[in-house]
Amino acid sequence: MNFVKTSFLIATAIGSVLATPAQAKTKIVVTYPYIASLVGEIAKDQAEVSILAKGDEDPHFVVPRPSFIGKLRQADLLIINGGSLEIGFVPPLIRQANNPRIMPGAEGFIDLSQSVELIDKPDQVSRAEGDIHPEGNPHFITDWHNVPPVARAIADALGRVDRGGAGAYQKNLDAFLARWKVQSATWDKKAEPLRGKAIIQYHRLFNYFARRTGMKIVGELEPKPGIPPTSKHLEDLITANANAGVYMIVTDPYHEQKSPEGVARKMSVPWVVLPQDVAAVPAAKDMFSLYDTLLSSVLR
Amino acid sequence: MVHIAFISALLLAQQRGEPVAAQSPIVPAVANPATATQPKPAPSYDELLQRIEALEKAAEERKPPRAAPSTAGTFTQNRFNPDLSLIADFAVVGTNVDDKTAQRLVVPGFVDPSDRTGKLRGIDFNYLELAFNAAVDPYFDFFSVVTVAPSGIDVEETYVDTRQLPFGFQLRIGKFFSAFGRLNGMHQHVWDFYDQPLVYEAFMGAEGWKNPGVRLSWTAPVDFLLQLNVEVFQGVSDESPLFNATSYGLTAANGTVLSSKDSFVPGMYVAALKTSFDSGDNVFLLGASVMYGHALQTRIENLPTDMAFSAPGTIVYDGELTYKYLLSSYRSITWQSEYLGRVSSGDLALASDGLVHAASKRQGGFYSQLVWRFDEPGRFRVGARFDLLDQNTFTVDGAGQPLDNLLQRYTAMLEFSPTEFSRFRLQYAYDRSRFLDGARKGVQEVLLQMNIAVGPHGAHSF
Repeated sequence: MNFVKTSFLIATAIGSVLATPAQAKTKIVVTYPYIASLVGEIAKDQAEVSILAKGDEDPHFVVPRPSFIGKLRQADLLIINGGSLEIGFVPPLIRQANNPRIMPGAEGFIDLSQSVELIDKPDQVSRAEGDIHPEGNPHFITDWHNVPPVARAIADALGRVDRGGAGAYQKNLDAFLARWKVQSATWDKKAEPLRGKAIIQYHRLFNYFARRTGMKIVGELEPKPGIPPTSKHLEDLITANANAGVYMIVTDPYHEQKSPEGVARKMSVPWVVLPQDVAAVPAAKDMFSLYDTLLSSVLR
Repeated sequence: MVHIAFISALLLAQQRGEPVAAQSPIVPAVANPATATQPKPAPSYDELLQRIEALEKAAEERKPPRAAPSTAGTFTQNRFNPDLSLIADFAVVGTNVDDKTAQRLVVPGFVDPSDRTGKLRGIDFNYLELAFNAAVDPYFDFFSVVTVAPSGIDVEETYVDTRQLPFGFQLRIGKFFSAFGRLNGMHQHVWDFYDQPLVYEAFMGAEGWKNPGVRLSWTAPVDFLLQLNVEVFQGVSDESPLFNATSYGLTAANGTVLSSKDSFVPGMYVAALKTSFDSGDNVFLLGASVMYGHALQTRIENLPTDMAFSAPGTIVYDGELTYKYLLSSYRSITWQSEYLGRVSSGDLALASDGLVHAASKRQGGFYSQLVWRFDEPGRFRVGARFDLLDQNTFTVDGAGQPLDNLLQRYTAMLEFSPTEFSRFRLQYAYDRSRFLDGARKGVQEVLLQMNIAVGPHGAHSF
């Protein structure tokens, strides 16, 4: 019993010493690099940002490193992509972090998917259809026009957790949105030649990008979301689209590249690796170069 | 808009000298018979407007009553239902020991035949696990796991966690698995092999130590993981071969009654400290845990069966080390090892001589395992594990009892998971720790296990 009491006292003592608020910067944990990039635009150097996933990692399967728990424990704000993309690794981390500030429902937790309209919402939800997301396709960030609402949601959340900085965040947001408006117009123009082009993708990652550019997605290398390609499916895909005038096969940096390469060779069409996030490929350094890279990769 | 169009139509009709009511499809003849029979001077705009409104009102009143919106769902609260997952586990087992013999196997000084569970030759239904979770209110989260197995229904865990304690504290109240060691808190379906390491089976029971209790956990505000768990358990369990804070009573051959008093309850305490940090793609996890409580054993190998070993100050300690190297988004190599030791001393009551002897036990063992997730979509894993119980001394009245202290097992597995929700595992084990009637009996075993999960997405911990 003494032993328990002692342990308890020690824990309490260490707790009160270490938990004394001393940080000047707002501590923010984000799940993906693009969110960090946006936080950087809005908070500038007023925030300390930790990213859970790497850009070239499969966003569905991020290894939940225990050190993330320590970071979440101290966070003032947790920003997730949402749409069930993080369902496989974030919930247990939040549960173990013992931090009421960032629990779902608290002020310091935001789900960005709620500030954009998700497409491809399935009518029926069954795992027989593979790894589907009941809320709709969560890869909304591949459309640059989804960036402003997301940036606004981030600025609002930052202003809530750090009221003193709200004015500065708003100013930075306005400046960013102004630049974004100009850039978006150039990207819109740049994307024009893509209208109507048929593409095949590996996973349903680029549906928002295709919708924005007017490209038509005619198939996926995966027979069903999250299910690896089978040779039968790939053959069927090639046969079905033999006369569809497929323009290009697109994939991401984290899936195997044999399948896209093989299909591209058999169909005699080019294939490219597209960044689905900032830092997914070296050229996609920030939000601006992400869409530059996306567009220049498919424009040839 | 409607009014204006209607008025123009009426005016137009009047100008043509036609009876308005007959022409207008929505003005019934009975509504205003006067208009139909007697031509009058053209009415003013306001009059017309009033008339239209009166007609509209009359038409509205004559409409059949609108169906009331369904109230069938008014008090249904489906959306508050907890998340429910079902996990089912089956195996096909082949072994060189028949089921009857298997029930008589012991690990001398560690595992009694009575502790042996499951795993019969042929096709086994191991368990169906029902896992529930939901937020209770803004203050608590609720979790419950109920296991239905051929041996019966067991409430494995049912507890609440606080949501709002400050300074990194969290309180867990209910029945739950202790945070002791690396594996104790893990449910069967996330184990890397079909069964627990030998040393866990010996000290914690086949499924791990779980009991009613309270846990206070504290996470340090640092950029790596530093977590301390302190637990108080009731300490009475017939599921574990170790902790049981109850009294014993024996009547010796010569008529003497040997007995003890019940221990103070709650009588079992645990402290577990864990830390983890990473450097690039290398992730390290280290931990140290200690358990303190009252042990009671009523059967020990090489001793007469009518006995009781009551050791109020029993300590089990654990040191753990996990190293994971992340090869890519899907591939990784994990090396995990743990050492567990047990120190226990107290009274040994023997019915044979009617005496209470001073006795003590020092035991220990470890496992070390390597698991490689080796293919690109991350569906295959291969692993090997070595188990060894290397310390096994039992002393009665200062004299050591001969017990084997080189008890080992070799295990290998190959796993295929079509998705996160289904898994097939082929496992081979060569177990040199079992004894039959005092002689070592090597047990070889091949099994194919199937584990399936349906329901909400089960997130994976590290």
